Amino acid sequence: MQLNSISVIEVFSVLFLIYGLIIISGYIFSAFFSIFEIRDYKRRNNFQDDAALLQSANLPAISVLAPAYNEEANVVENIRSLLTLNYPSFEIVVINDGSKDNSLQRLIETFQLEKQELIYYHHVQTKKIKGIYKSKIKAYKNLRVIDKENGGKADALNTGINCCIYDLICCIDVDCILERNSLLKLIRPFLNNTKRVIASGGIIRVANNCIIEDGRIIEVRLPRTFLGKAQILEYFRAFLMGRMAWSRVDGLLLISGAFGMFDKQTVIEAGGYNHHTVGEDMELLVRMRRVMREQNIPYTVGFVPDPLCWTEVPESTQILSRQRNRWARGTVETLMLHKKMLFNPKYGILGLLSTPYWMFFEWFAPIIEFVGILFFIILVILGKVNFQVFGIFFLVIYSFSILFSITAIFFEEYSFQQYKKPKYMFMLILTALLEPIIYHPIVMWAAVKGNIDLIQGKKSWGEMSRTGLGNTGKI
Amino acid sequence: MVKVTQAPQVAIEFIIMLIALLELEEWSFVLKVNLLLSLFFLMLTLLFVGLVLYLRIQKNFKEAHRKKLESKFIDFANTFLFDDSINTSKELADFKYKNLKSSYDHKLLIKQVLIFDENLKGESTVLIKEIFYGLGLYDFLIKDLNRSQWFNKARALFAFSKLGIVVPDHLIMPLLQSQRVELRQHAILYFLNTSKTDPLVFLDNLEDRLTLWQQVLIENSLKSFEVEIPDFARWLKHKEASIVVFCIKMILSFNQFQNIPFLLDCLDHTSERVRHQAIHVLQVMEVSEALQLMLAHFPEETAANKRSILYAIGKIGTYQDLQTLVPFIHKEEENLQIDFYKISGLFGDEIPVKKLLNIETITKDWEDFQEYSINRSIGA
Amino acid sequence: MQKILIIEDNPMVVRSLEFKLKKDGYEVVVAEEGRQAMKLLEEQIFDLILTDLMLPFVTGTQIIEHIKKTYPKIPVIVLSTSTQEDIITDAFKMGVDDFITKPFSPSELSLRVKRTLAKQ
Repeated sequence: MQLNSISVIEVFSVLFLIYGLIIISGYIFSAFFSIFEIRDYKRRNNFQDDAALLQSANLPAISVLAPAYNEEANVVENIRSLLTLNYPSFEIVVINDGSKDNSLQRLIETFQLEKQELIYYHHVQTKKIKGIYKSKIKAYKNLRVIDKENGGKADALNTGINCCIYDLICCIDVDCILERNSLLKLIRPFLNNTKRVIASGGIIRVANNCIIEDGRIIEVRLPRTFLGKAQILEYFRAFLMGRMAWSRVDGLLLISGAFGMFDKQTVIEAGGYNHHTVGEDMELLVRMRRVMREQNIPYTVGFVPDPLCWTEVPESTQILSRQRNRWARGTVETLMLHKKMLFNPKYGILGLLSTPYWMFFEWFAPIIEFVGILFFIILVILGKVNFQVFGIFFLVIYSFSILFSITAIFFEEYSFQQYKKPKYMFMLILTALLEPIIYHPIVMWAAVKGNIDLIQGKKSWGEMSRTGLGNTGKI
Repeated sequence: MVKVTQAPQVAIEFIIMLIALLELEEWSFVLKVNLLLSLFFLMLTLLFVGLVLYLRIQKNFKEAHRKKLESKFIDFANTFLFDDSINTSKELADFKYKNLKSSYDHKLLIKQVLIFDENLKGESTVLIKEIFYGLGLYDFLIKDLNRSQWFNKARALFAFSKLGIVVPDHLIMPLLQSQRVELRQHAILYFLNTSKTDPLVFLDNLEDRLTLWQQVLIENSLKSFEVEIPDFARWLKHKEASIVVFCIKMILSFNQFQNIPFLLDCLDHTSERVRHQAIHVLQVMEVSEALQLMLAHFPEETAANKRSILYAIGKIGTYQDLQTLVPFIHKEEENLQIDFYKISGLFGDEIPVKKLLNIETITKDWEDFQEYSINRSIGA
Repeated sequence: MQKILIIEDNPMVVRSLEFKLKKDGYEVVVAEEGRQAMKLLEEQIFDLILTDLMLPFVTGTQIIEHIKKTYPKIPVIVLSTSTQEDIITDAFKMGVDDFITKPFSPSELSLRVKRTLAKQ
């Protein structure tokens, strides 16, 4: 009996040890890849010629798709600022996804919209369209508003794909704040590459507590709450270290739904957004890549590290948990839908590196961690824990996690340095010290809960998930 | 969804790994290693904190310096450009002596000179160049060009080509063969911007695809420099389709109406993209004789080009032209039917399609409409 | 002294214009973006407006529409990098008095400003 329990412990221990080593080396690799990618990007863009771009009549036109659901408070201001984006040729397609408030009415009044004829493409199956509106005023001739029955974000975007006229689509969250040159920057991968570019994505920044006027960031500030600050660190790590590294090996699996540009034709070939998953943005890119790979078409996905898109992150534990719960489900659903790609050499980097990474680091990590904690608690109860040993191991992991966050802060300083006040930097460093203990358990539990919910068959939270973010009274 | 990488799996590993060592005396070696590792991580952390601080201070200092110098320079340049009463060479020497200390200063001013050059033309251009030489920026960039790192070379090339300043050929020629695509691109632009005759001669031997970005840059150069605009028909037979596409665009941009016959030939090109561009350009140039050719090609064209032809009819054709295509739009080509309806709308109330059109049953309606329209043409 | 409002967000261009036009003997007021321009228009009286088309917050088109509706008498000259014909025609349709493309020649600009003012 005694022997048995020790050997179980040993097996577990060794497994966890290996797992920990894999994760640590993964992080170290990604840090190295990222720093080279950032350096190259800086060098390439040291001298650029946006003016030449702006003057050209030969740039591909872009359809900006902005789904809106119950956004009455901000929708008019946000659309106004979208209309002043810096780009020679684009249209803004607002999709009112059956809002229950007066969003549509407000849009109609402000922009003097009138109903157009109901002719649109049927690339993807969607819910019924109730009306298509255009403005009578010349200054708003780039604006088109689609009114449709409620069907969720994926369905709204699909409707936008059916109704827009240009070949490149840029999908955004209507409550996001875009930099003026964001379209010019995001289209660069499409212009530069000799391979077919199917999508390009950018870095998402945290807008909480920033000073915003007329839909533009005037001053970048740190969020007030600890939760907000912790997410800043998280976003640094995710984008400046994670995505940068993935883009260097062309293994990006996710372009955030908050801001991404896609080749419409490829999106249509892949079948549009999937409205059966809560992680429609990740699922779409994975499916597009898979389709390309299966047809043996050389392609690539671009990534632009400039801060182009700012979004409000949840600052209450409850909403944050809900968001992370949804992300966890989205990840699992996507991986399950495309499990064929996992460890499949036919899919190259995607099969051998990206999808396994997502499985181990994003899906399994919180679960293993959770099991570990349970295990630990049991051991404590059984009185089998040597607290001296515990202390040392705690120290090594804790110091590593701080190192990792500090490296991310360093990357931010090295690259874009958005947080100008010295005070902010100290607060971020302090946050890095506390985050592993205070913040991390919350997101970990939310992810575990997401897995549990998924098993229990909770498919989608529909409206709740849509309103979970944003609308927190900004602008 | 903004998926964020999990924090380093702090909690798990520490707890779990330590469990590994529970009551296992012989593992104490691992413990020592761990202790060392923690110390190592903490030291690295401190190092990075130091780096962050250093970067912050350095950047702040640079930023303040930049603002000051830029402002000084703009004042200086404006006086230089618009005030005839000053002694130009003395002012230049003065400014150089007082303000140009580091290589960073030089880089800043090169950027500013480029901004001036980009926004001003006419009599100012010569004066801007005078500033450029007078402040020793030319010599600075020549040094850059001779340095080994690609990005230094690229910056120098970029500045020279933007300003249209000629430097000895032997400095640039090797860069056309460079491993770095950025350098090759800048070298091409340099030759393009500085050659007075036949600026696009390099297209003759180009075998790579011309990216959209390169196309935009070339067009921009042609428009902003006083070069002789070549006759773009010269490359319409080029074997690289992207070059042909580019030339078709340029025929439109530079209104080379004499090349319309060649554009008509492009409607028969083997590349779909070339035909697509030709259809578009012929429509914008309102070449009505192209329409018959497009109509004749319609049945064999690809879906995308069929669509472009429909839109060309919308712009330069008649409703009758549109009608002749009805039999060639098949019932499964649903999107094309929608385009057809959209275009018919442009011809106003001549059309009965709207009554037939029900967006849910569009394919079924299309068959009805085909029948209707064929009957009508027989009846008429 | 005749007063000119410059609406432009590129500091280099602003300062060159300011310098040149002041030298020509005009009083010059600068707005770096659209809302500031609208505010200035409410507070002061201008003889001419020189505006870019791409501006933060409020686009040039919106400003021109606003000016032509509220202050139909003030002549407007557009200074823009855009050489696209439809944009230029659109501008003239809105009642713009002159359209100068960047890069611009300062002496030519000052001539055209003079000419536009003389027409009034």
